[in-house]
Amino acid sequence: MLALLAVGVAMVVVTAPPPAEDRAQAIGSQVRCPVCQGEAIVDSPSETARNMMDLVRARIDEGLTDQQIIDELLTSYGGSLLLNPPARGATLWLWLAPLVALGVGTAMVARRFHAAPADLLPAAAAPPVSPTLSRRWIWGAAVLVLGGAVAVATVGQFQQARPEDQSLSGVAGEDFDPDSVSNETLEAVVAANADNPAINGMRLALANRYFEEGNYQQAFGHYEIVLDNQPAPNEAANAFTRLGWMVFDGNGEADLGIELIDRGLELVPNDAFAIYLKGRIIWCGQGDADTAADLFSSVLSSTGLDAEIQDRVETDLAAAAAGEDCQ
Amino acid sequence: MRWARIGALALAAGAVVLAVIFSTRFGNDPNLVPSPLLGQPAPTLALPLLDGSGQFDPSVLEGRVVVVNFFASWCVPCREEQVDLTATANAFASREVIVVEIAYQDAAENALAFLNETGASPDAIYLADPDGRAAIAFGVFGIPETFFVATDGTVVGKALGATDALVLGSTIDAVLAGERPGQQVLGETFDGPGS
Repeated sequence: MLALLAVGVAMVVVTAPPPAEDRAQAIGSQVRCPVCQGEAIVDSPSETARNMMDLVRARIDEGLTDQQIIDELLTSYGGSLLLNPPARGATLWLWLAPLVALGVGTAMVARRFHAAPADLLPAAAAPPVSPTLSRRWIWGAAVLVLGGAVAVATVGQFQQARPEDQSLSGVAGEDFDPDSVSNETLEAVVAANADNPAINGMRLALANRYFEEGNYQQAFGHYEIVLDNQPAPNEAANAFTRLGWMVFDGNGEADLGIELIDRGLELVPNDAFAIYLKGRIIWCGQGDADTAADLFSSVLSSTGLDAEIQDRVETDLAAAAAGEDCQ
Repeated sequence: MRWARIGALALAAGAVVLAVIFSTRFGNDPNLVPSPLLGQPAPTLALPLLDGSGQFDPSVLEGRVVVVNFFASWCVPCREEQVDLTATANAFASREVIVVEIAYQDAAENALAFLNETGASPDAIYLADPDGRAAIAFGVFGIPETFFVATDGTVVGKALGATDALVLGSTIDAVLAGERPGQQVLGETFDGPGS
């Protein structure tokens, strides 16, 4: 009786369906995240992928089969959503071509081994390589190449040409010029997303524009919001550096300016622009031309410097090294 | 030897064919596959109203031409087309055409602030899509995306990128006349905040 019970339990364990989460992961690994580059929804951190995984889990809870769930997603996104194209219809070739190639290759190798005893003869006694053998090799290779060509051409039928003057899918086109977006438009976008850390980059771009224009009043507020809005280290460093320069350039507060720039340099050490601005404050605000010249030299030794900055630093270095006052 | 020459020729020809295919086929966008929803029944829009005042009753849409637009406050082209969507909703209200705008991956308060600023129509319907189900059901890749649904509930048109009054008006006229405009690509789309 106990043995029967044990067998019964074992059968239940063996035949039990996989846990729901395992099924969700398995489905998620087959489905391409529509807003990513060749990534499965189970691997992608994007909100779209997370929503799709939640949908998959909900449908499993509702009792749908794996195929029903995948079909639901394909109904709205189409077959290109699958990471592996289906082995039927026009994409059948993609699956058959490697099998055909493997078959042809095996046949050729088999024929070669069949002829092997001849190789045991001394070289002088070996018969010349049969012309039929090399013919077979060439035919095999030709079949492989043509099979590959057919496979690639078939894939192409499922795509449309990207329009030359437009960009899609969130990837900006080559001729998209971010500078064409006006300050007013950027203001409106960042205003509508006041507390969204995802747009810190956009807000910094806007603040940097104001900074470059010398519009410190507008720039100040945006840098402060970025610092309050969970910035990434490079974003915070960008804001600290420019805030530091502005409190010096605008209000003459050299010590505070250097302190702010140093906070940025703690986050992103060796930032050339930050070191340059720090040198400017030490030179122009504290009158220490020697220290400034050292800093300018270290900036020039860094690589990948913007050409315009390089010009400015070289000019300032020459003046500071000569002990001149800053301009 | 003759066979070897023919074989070499076949190899070379195959290589050329491959080269041509590789050089022309790459760079295509798999997201540009025509929406499989075209010609199919539109997904049901049983969603909460964006202003939080309750649940939308999708039976309101029955027998009407419906323009379904996915937008977000973080989407730059959405800002361009919002004025024209509002104008279209006003202009076509008397012809049994209804514009439904669905906030895509956006906080309701941000989407409402966007509408308060860029303008909204009393004749249009604004919905939230908190778990993205509507966006998935419509197969949204990136916004703005706009779908056109005929009076029988079939999806007959889709526009990727920012629309304008001309595109909206002419497409709606075509749908009202019983045509199926299909898919058109108008410009850039954004797939998420910060993109």
